[in-house]
Amino acid sequence: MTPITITNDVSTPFLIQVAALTTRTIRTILRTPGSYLPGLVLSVFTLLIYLASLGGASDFIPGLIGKSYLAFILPGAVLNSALSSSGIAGQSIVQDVASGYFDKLMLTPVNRGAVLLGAMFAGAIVLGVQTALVTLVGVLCWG
Amino acid sequence: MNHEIVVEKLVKRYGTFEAVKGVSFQVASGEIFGFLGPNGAGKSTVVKILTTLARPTSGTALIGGFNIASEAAQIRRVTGVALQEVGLDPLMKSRELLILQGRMFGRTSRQAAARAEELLELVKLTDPKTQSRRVGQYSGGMRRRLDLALALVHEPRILFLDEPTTGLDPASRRDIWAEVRRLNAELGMTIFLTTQYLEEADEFADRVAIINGGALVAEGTPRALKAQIGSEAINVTFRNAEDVQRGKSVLADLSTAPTQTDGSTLRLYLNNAAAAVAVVANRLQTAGLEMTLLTLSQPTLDDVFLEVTGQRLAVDDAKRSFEQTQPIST
Repeated sequence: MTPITITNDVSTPFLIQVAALTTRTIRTILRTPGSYLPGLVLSVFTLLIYLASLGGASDFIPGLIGKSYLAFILPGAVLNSALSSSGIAGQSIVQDVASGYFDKLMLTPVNRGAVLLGAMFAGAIVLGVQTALVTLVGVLCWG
Repeated sequence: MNHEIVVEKLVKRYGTFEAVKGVSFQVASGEIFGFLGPNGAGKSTVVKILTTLARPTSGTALIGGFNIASEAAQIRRVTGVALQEVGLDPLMKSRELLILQGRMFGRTSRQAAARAEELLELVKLTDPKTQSRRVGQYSGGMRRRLDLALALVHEPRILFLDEPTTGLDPASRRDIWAEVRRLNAELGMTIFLTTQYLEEADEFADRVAIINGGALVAEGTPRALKAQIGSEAINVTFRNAEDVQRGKSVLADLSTAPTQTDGSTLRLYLNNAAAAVAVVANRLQTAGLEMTLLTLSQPTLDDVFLEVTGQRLAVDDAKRSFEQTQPIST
């Protein structure tokens, strides 16, 4: 082994730490489909059911006449998805504590805030993608 | 001498329970220091305090010249830590973990990737099949090796190993020790380790300290500690515990250190055990006591441990397989 000589007082910039930890958390979330699939499937499912069964109702629901039923039901589906997956960020930290990996991170000079932000950003990004997917399904189906 | 670890009157209290009771010791630069003690003696608590994962209730410690209370960030840069509980994210792959660890220590992506390759080679995790698997699917030995690699990412001056070989098969244990020795010899790394295998401490540690009930009860080189309790020993096994007590009263004055009993075995410490065998046999015959087994032995760290803590370090049979190559002395 030829050791690379690097001084130990270099710090990774805060934002790069956050980016590296966010990437890592997204990776672990994607590797546990159980964390995001239920919320996603459930909201797409309810969206489709409601659209299919009540899609024509906008014609006679007072206050909704002449407007899109999709516009009425989509925010609900998105919220449904967001709420059921909102624990993802917290869960990923809980898992790290349980596996002992959290201690491993605490033993590095990483900024403590970066560890929390990494999990939060990862959770937000995953939710963003979910929302986009639910919206896409809704728009495609309604045309 | 230059000291990498200086611990002074360290105390850790959990509520009214005092887990660590004023522990002081020093570890010289380039030394392999063995920190021994039964379960619950305070070993891991001391390790957690020295590695900045826990704060002491009182007392101070300098690690690599930095104060644990005020310079934790600097300490984290000069120390590598492999805790007893292997802390790996089971969903990640080995290379990903190593690169992320490198990034947290200020390496660029490229430096971190190069270092990851080096370390994977070092701990023999280069098999592409292994690398494509998640860490959660690794065997215990592989996980330990990866954990050690993670502790070495930033080339620390001081390495803390909390029971690095517990639960490993003999071959993996030899690998770990070979690596620890090499790091110490080639890079001059100071190594602080805890282990429940006293034979390992005896063989690899330059100096050991024994902690019991939160306080240090012995400290020194394994050789000096063993010499303190006599150079050699005679073990006499009797039919039952009652005979042991009678045997003790007949033979105790021969022993240079207090005799010890372990089940139906009486242990005497003498400077020249072989020469005293005849005397022992004679006295027992005169007293009408029959012995079932008589052996001679060199003192081990386990004897030192028994002497200072009043108990043997309990290690179950499966874990003892490593020592089976050595003659059983009691």
